[in-house]
Amino acid sequence: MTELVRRLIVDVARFEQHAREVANQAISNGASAESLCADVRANAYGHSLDIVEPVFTMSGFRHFLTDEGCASAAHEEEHIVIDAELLYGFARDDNGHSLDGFTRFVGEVVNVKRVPAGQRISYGYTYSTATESTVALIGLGYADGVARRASSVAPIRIGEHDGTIAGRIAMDQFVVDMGDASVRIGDEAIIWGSAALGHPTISNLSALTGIPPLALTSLVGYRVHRESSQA
Amino acid sequence: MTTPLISISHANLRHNVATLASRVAPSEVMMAVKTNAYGHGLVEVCQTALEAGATSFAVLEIAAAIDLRNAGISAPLFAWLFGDDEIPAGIDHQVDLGISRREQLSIAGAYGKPTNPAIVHLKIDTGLTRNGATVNQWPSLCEEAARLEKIGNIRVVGVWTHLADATPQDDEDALELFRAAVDIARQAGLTPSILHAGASSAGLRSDASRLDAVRFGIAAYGVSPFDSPTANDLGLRPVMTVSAPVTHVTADHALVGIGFGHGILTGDNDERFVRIGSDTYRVTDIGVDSMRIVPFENSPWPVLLGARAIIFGDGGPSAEQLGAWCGTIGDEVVTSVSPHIRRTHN
Ligand SMILES: Cc1ncc(COP(=O)(O)O)c(C=O)c1O
Repeated sequence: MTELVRRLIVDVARFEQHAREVANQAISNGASAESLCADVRANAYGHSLDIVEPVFTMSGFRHFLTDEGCASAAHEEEHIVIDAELLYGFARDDNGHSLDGFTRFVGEVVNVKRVPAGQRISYGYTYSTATESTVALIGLGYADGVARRASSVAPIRIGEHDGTIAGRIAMDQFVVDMGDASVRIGDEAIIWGSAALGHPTISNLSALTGIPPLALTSLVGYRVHRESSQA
Repeated sequence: MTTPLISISHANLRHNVATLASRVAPSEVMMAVKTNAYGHGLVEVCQTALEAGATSFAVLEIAAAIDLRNAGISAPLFAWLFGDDEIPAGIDHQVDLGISRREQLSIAGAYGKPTNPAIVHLKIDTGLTRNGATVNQWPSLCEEAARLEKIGNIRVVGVWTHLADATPQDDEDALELFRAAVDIARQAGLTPSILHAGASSAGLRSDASRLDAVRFGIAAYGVSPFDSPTANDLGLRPVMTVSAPVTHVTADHALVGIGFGHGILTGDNDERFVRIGSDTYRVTDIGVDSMRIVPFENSPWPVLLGARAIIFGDGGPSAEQLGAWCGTIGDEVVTSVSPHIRRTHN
């Protein structure tokens, strides 16, 4: 039985390269290679411990800070816990904007409708279409980690096209106003992904919602399947 | 106890379900238990709700329905969000299927058999613009359903919609459309016996929305669907309480051992509080596994190491209140709490 697409895809190749750079930087700042500790609390901030642990091990981390504390923390002072925002690729620039990390959050189009101008959408009828438009229903909601504060503001990529969340995000669904773009049931919808590929970004979602990127990844829900990809 | 704890009050759950059931009788309560019963624990909630007067469950997904079947729940289970290829499993497990599109109907009709027909509730979109057939698609959906029902491969037991919780007039307009859709279904030869439209909001404020069943979700968990009246005004009691211990105390602040990694929502609002006993403390910062608190007005200081802070629920701020502090609603507060936190059911 294949369920609806709900995926958090971790780009392990880029992640590993980044983590190695972070480790080397810490070493060149005087940390001993033996002391590096990776923060993997909260299921590696939602990324999945199973996926992320090998990434950090390969990139030179000897210790892990888990929900239970530092596993081999005989002597706390011998561990240097790397800042989690830096480690997961969300370091901020001088303007406070963060980078985009190494995950892609994907859902599936479960219905598509062509609606007239003025069509009101979702709870409270807070949104209405400006023109005749195609709207796509996505099978993800705030219980899956699409923060309700992104209602009516966050961009979504479906296929090659960009739309905006239309109206309130519900617990398990939300609607995207796609204008005249062609969209089909079963298409993948990207909540956040790679800036280089033109996807909506987690840093933008963070700026729109006021929720830090690490809190956004940590909130990705239990129904969302974590996978690794080299792509 | 040094870890965060979710305590689920089955006394309050029972009270809420019984209160709602008597308020809407003779309409029945098809309780919404999607998303692990709004984070409360699926199987435990369903068992108590059945004792308290719910007669069926709105589960959202076929996977959740199968979990309930495996736990021995035999009540009707209604699912409405699934991939086309999940439909056969739903039929195998006698799951009532909310169907919006012709393609879904074809699969149900191809897999269902007169010995084990697909149980179907057809959905009409009455304005929410999510799932549901449009007014244009509706007549042909009904005709195809009637044809498959004659063969015996499906049985159309219900017609339903979902309301927008906007204004009472908007709900009334949607119900008008709904009644017209039911007439069309009957003209096509269907004989649905379960008409359902309202969830918590309409179910509480509009008699006309109650029909044969109300799909109460959030109200049953003791969280108001409205800004006002509050849950307390409605006679509903909070079911989920989240608490965590004070893990560190200094002269001017303390840490409480719970954070966004446990699914506690963050927000940029300074007005945010927890309770320890009968005293209120301000939350100034939320990390992955701890939150920083400081005294508020004349709350006593220092707090005791190990004292339990109520993040929300019975004896603390309500889920609705915490939602408002975070720019959202109580529904998101309760469903976001991590399924990995220890839960006690009492
Ligand atoms: C189809 C359907 N019915 C009922 C409910 C329960 O709604 P509420 O929690 O507002 O009672 C929901 C959840 O939003 C739903 O999607």
